[in-house]
Amino acid sequence: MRNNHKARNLARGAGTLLVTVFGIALTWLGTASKVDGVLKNAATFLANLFGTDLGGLLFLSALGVGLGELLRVWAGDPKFYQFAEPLLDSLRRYAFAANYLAQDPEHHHRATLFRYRRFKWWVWPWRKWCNPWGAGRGPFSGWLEPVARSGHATKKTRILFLAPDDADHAEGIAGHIWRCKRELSAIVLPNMNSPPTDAQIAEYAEQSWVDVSLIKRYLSKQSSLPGSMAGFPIFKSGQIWGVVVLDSRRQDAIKSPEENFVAIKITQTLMERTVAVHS
Amino acid sequence: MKTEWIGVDPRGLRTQALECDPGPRRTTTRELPSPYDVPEGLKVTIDEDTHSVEIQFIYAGESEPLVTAVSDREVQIQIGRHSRRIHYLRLDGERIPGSRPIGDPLKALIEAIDKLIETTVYSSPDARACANYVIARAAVQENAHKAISSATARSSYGHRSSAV
Repeated sequence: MRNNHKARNLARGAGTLLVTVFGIALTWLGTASKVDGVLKNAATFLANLFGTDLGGLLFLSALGVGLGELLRVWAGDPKFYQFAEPLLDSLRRYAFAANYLAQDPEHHHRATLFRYRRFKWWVWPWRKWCNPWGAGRGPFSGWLEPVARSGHATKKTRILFLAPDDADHAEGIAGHIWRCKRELSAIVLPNMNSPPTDAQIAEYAEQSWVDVSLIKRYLSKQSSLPGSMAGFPIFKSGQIWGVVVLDSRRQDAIKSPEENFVAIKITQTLMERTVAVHS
Repeated sequence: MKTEWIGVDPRGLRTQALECDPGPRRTTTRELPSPYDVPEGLKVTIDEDTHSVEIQFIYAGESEPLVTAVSDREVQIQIGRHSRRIHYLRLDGERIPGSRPIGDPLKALIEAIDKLIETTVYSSPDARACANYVIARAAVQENAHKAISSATARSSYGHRSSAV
């Protein structure tokens, strides 16, 4: 999840600096190359200092501007996270049973925002040994990537769900909601606390629309799996933008859709506004 | 021209759409329309001079571009281009030469929505859109009938014979 605030801030700062410095240089060099005289001589001297000619220096400046812009795009709009994360925190307070919220650690009951991305240039860990994106898939297959999560912990995750054009193969609760564009009431999943049998693992995988290998990978890392999950879609101007998934270690912590109606409605409305302005 | 804002019960409306799902369903999960697809209210505008009725569905969230889904001599339905939610229902009450008289505007609107549901289910199945249309139908039938009936009773609608 891109939730490393320091790295993003650093990238945004570096990107802005590059765009500013090289943007000014590009403008100056562009003007100097057209005007004979002191300006051109100075630009040529500078180019020779870098071991290139005026054209080469222009190209390098343009490259600097491009790199700076890429860094800023990667860093994203900081206001998106400033609005999205408190919204998820508020949703979390209302969507789960209050008694469990009071007694359990914060990360046992979470709200995660997944964003649909058409292109994902790199996937780690690889889904198949010969293909990072999995058998028959590529960077343009369509993916659901977590971009924000409630709470302060469990934010370093590399989970990625397939959301392809052949929507029958969409993965996970997130993929299922993305495919249906509808709200999903709480799914009660098998208890995986004690060492589960193969049948239990298969049932868990089937109930949560994921591959058995993913469940086994989580179990091998001794990661805890949710006991129940639910979710709803997020739209932008009528088109599906992403999905919010609620997950809980307990099987009965997520409130019913009727109880959560207002909280989900407010979240959908405000999140749509947030993504429309800052995404 | 008379305009009336009508509140609806979104939770109650949503339960009406739970049966509208052409696809397979697991017994352990329940997919239902999200609050995004349930109108918060209706704005009913009645022009007693032209005998026109317009119903606008009020949704939470941002606006979206609209397209015309149904456009015949009497009724026009506009839906969201991407979401396919019903946004506008328009009934043109002015008689067109050769057409049948419109006896009951509410019935004409409900029939238009039914036609849209049928078209959606059979030509381009979309459970989400279908559920929204069922919700819209229930909203119009349960909430808008009073506004339409009281307005049309004062107009010449009441003097026309029902053709259906």
